[in-house]
Amino acid sequence: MKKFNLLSIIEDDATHLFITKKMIEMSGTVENISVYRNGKEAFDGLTATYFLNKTLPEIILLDLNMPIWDGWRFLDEFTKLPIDNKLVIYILTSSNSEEDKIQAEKYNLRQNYLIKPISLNEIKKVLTDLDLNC
Amino acid sequence: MNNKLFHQSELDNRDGLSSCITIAKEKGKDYDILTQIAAQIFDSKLSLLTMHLKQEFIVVSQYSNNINSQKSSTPYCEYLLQENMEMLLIEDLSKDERFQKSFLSSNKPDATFYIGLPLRSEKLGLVGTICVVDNSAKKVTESQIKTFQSVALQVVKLVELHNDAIAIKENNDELIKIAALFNESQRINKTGAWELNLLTGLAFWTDEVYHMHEVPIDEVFEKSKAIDFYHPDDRQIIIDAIDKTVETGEPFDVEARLITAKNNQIWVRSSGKIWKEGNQKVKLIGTFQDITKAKNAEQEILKLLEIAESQNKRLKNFAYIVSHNLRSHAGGISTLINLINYEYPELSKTEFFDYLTKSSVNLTETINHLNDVVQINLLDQETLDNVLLQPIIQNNINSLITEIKDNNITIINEVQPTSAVQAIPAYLDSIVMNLISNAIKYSSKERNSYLKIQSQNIGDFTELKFIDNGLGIDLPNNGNKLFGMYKTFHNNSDSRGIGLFITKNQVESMKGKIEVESEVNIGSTFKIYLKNEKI
Repeated sequence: MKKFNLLSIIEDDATHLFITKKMIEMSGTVENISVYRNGKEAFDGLTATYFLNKTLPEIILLDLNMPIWDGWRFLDEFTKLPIDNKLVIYILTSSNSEEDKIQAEKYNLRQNYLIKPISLNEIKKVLTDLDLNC
Repeated sequence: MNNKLFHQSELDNRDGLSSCITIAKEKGKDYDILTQIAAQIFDSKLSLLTMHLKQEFIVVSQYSNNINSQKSSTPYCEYLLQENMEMLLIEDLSKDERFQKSFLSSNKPDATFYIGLPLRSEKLGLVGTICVVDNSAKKVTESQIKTFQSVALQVVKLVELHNDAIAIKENNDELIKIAALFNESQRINKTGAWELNLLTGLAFWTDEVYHMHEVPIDEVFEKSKAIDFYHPDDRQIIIDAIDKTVETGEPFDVEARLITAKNNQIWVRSSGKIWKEGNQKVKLIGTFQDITKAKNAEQEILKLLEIAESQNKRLKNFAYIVSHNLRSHAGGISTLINLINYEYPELSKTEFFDYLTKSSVNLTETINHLNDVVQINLLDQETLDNVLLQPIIQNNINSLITEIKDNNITIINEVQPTSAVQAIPAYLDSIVMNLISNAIKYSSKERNSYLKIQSQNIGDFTELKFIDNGLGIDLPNNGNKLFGMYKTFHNNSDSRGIGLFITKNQVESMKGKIEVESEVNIGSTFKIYLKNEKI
């Protein structure tokens, strides 16, 4: 039994999606991965999962720059849902601009801000250190 | 002539009669009929009208028949005035006791008969004298004297009349001169004046207002329709302004476009205020100025500002592309290379893979530099803080201590402990780090190397100097490229040619400047100028 059952990646770029998936697999800490290709798709999918009482992911890796709904819009809408489950969101973006980092602060995600491409060691460290029970 | 001839009080009064010279020169003929009548009253040969100005006698009019010299009368006229007499009558000089022993006896005049009256005006004071002279003795009647007195009165009236006319003419000349100056100054300043009679609706314009409208000065047209000259889009501005001023009494001052009679568009500034007579608002008066040049300059500046803003916007877009898209793609490539390396180790042993890796590393590095540079250029200058120089320099020396020891270079920190500048701490740190590590990197192995760091105040700026005795740079050949991107001048393996480029950008973004002096194999001095701390 691996440490986490389900991790969701919200990412529109095929290359980065491939890389992130590969890294997660190689870290060996996650059982299942679900993928959404933009903020809107993720919101719809996760909302349905929530209301159908299916399994929600324990971790979400969220890209910022995406078509239809970007990462911020997803956060605006998703955080309105009354979810009780332990669920941690990481921003995983190629943007290293101060503006985005300051914006992340507003969602209390300044500490959960990862810059792409993330190395295998980094992702391993994040997933190993993450303890959903504390 | 005796200097104390006249009573001082009368002299003072007569200063007002400055026009008597003009009268004598131009109007003398007007008096000739009066002098002629005066002579005829006494059936005499000579009659003389003189005016007295600053102790001089000016002959205004003279009627003479044989006796032609004023000399014969002047001494008596002087006497008349000197004694402040109402009249001097000498019927027969040879029998007149007053003049037997007086000053006249030694200077015997031609005249035998003399009668003279002072000319006194209420307005002008003592004007002069009128006298009649003959070389034979005469008996004078009361009625002759009366007639002579009324002639004298006529003379005074005529003098007063002429004096008024001359004063009016002088005033008029003065007004013409002032008007000319006024017009000239209006022309130079492109400012005219106007008034609008609120009761009649009639307007008055100065010449310059006509010029601005490009309307001939002699052209007659309905000036209250002046509003029609304004650009249709701006007419309401002027109408509202005038209405408000008439209503509230507050002055107005507006700018609007005007289409001249020749169909040229100009910008004008029109200002006006109420002119009251008693309690009634009678007129609007104001000025009218051509501000086309200033307006055009203003528009030009706005246009430049727009260009600068749009360039800044494009730079921001560019920065965004660099920091997001380029970074993302380059990152993808380098990570994929790592993954291939991990999953297909045998593939990574090929030469192709080696070069691919190197290119990918260079690409990432280039993008990082580009990103730094763009971020520096987007900096908002408001964010400068006061920063003490000394601690920043000491910290950088400390963190480079290994390199300093390895290269056997002495660092002499002579920066004033109180020196502080306006800076972004991170940039200042990066500048100092870059210049110290350059000095280490390019130190000469052939001598005892040193780097001296000094600071001093120069006006509004602090100069921070980095003086080394290292390899130096061939400035005549490379000076213009020194601060360019990807310029290296030495064969050091870790020269990347980005440091000084970034340093220069950072210095300039903090409103400072950087200068260099250098000689090959002697050393380099880098001078950084940053604004003194804000107090």
